[in-house]
Formats: sequence, structure tokens, C-alpha cells
Amino acid sequence: MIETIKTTLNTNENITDEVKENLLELITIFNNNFKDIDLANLNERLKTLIIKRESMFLVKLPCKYNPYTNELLINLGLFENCDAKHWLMHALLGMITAKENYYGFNNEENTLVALNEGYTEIITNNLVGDVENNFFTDEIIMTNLISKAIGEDTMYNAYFNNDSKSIVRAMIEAEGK
Amino acid sequence: MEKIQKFIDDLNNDLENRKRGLPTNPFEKQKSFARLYPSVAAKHTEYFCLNENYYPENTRNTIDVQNIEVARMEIEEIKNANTYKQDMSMQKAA
Repeated sequence: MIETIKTTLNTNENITDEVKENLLELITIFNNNFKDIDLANLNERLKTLIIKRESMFLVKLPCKYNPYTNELLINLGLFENCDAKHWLMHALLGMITAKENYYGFNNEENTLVALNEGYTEIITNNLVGDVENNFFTDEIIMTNLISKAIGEDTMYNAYFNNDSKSIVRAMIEAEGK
Repeated sequence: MEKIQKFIDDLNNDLENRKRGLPTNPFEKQKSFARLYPSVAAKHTEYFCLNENYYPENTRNTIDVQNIEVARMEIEEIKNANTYKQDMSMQKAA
């Protein structure tokens, strides 16, 4: 699959060669650690992915992936001084699990936006290391605690299958225990 | 269900407020979690981050230290209550 993705990246004229190389490196890291996750969705999105600069008033982090428009938005001021590998991996996880206008175990109504960011950061930290003064520290702590209540497998399956309902259901079932 | 929904909404609101640069109290959320899931509070106390050092040094203030202390006491109470409840269940079973 990595070879397929490499070919796909090469066809995308919106992305520079340097960025293609960076993305491929991160995708390889992900694939080596999550061999059971299908990358077909990612492959499809890479065909038309656009990377563009966005206003600092709209993008508060170094970069952010918009699943609806399939754009990777860069806050240039923050991006130039950040751990780019970390934030690109965070965005890449959004591309891998993207569905319509959300990703991971979030949904159209943004019901689980905070937990979703926490879980995305946990995976990002495991793959490429944490950053100092991580903006999502509070979400990471809460996601870790909730995974103890509902089970790590539940969280993992929900994230890679865009299943917000199973998270909420599991939280309700575990309440009071 | 309502308590869970409120808990989730509070987490989302905190994130939104932090994006806007507004103050938040994450220790309140950890207390809420402990009330909803007391056995996790009892078994996995180490996962609660109740150390002022987890805040960047230049943002630590007296309010955070007070909030941490209140959260620590409440979570300890919940943990002790849950441990007592489990001990009583085991005694009855015996």
C-alpha cells in the first residue's frame, strides 16, 4: 500500500516534492505501527489534497486538516517555530480517518470534538513524540481516564471506524462503576 | 445519560474556551470524572494529573494550586468511598 500511496502523491501537483517526502515518511511510520488500518481513504484524499496558508484567526494550531474541503491549512507564524513532524502527523491522522466533515470518533454535530483531539494527540505522541506545553494536554488526560472506564479497544475501534455512538454508549454503560 | 452528556459538553466547552484564550479549570473535569467513574478513581489514581508542575511555569498561579488541592481531596474521598464499598461487598460475599 505504501508504494500505491507514493504513486498517488507523485500525481498530486498541488504539493511540493519536499512535502511529499515528509508526508510519505509519516505515513510509513503510521503504517509500520498500525498495520491493520486500511489506508484506502487516505490514498483517495491524497489525490486532491491541497496545502494552503490560512489566517491565524481561523487556525489556532500550526496546521489543521479540513476533511470537508480536503485541505491542509497552515498557520505560517506558528508552523515555522513548531515541531512540524508532530503537527503534520496529527493532521495526517485526520486524513486517514476522515469522513465527510469530521474525523476519528467525532461526528457531524461535533459531539466528541475534545475527546477526539485528545485521542488523536495520544496516537501522535506515540508515533512521533510529544511537544512541550502541548495545547491538548487536558484532553489527553481526560481521554486516558475515559479509556480506563470504557476500554482501550472500544476507543481504538471507534476512532478508526468513525463510530461516536459506541463511545457515548460505553460511557453511559460504565457510569457509576 | 444526562450526566454523561453534560460531562462531554463541559469538555468541549473547555477546549473551545482555551482556543479563545479564556481561563479553564481542568481539575473540575477530573472531579466530575471521578464522580461518574469512582472505581476508575480508586484503581487508577495515577492517571489523574493533580500536580501543579503539569502547567507551564509561567502560567501557574494560586488559583491553580487551590483547584488542585480541592480536586485531590475530593478524588481521595471518592476513592476511599469506593474502596469501602468494595470491601463491604467482599465481606458480604464471604
